[in-house]
Amino acid sequence: MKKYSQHINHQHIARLLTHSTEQLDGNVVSALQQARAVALQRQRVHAPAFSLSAIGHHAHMPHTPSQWVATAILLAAIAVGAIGYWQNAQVPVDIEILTDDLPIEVFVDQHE
Amino acid sequence: MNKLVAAIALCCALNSSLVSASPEPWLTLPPAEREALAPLYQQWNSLPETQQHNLRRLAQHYPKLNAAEKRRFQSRLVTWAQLTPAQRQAAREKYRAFSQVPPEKREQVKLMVKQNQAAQQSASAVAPATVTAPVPAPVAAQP
Repeated sequence: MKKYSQHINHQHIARLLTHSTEQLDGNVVSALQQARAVALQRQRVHAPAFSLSAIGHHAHMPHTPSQWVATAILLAAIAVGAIGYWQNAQVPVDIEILTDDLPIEVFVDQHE
Repeated sequence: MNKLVAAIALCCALNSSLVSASPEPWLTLPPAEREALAPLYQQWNSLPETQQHNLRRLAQHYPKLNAAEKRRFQSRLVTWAQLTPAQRQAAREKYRAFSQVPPEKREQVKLMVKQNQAAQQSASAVAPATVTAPVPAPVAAQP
């Protein structure tokens, strides 16, 4: 068994499968083709699942109210996160302006 | 799906807590923040909560500053808080632009500003103090 498993690799398996399918008779092949067509048909009937992994791959629109809610919350979270990030990014510059040895009036235009 | 909604809602809640905290009365601020923001003591409770939040973030850096920086920070805080968001943003952009200037030119500008300040101070010290007498209010003509 150990010796046999050493010889089996994925290329070997692929060769075996190809060889096996060539041995199938016409009825079996057509039955398999029909089964594949039915399975594909069933897959098309179902509404595509909305998932994050679909973004950029298949831009699915939300279908159900809960998907719309999730999308809205996600967009709101992204917007709020972006604002928070932007505000945090300002802190070092603000500190530098407030502590620089140049007076603040150099950077501030009071007449704006 | 419900798990996804819950997870997104949680992220949203966490984010919102970072962006806008509820307004904080002066007396509830931690002592370290009160020390940093002391010049704003009188106007603190009337500041918008977003501005309070931003100022508190600045105050968190205060303990790390040296003595001179702390003095400058506090002396400029009221001016900074009184600016509009657009003025603050313009100041940030000017500061960033100034940071791109070569160091030797920056030093020249700093020297010029210091000389200008010194000249203004000496001029104000030399100028005689003018006392303006209060102008009496015009008396309405009696009929």
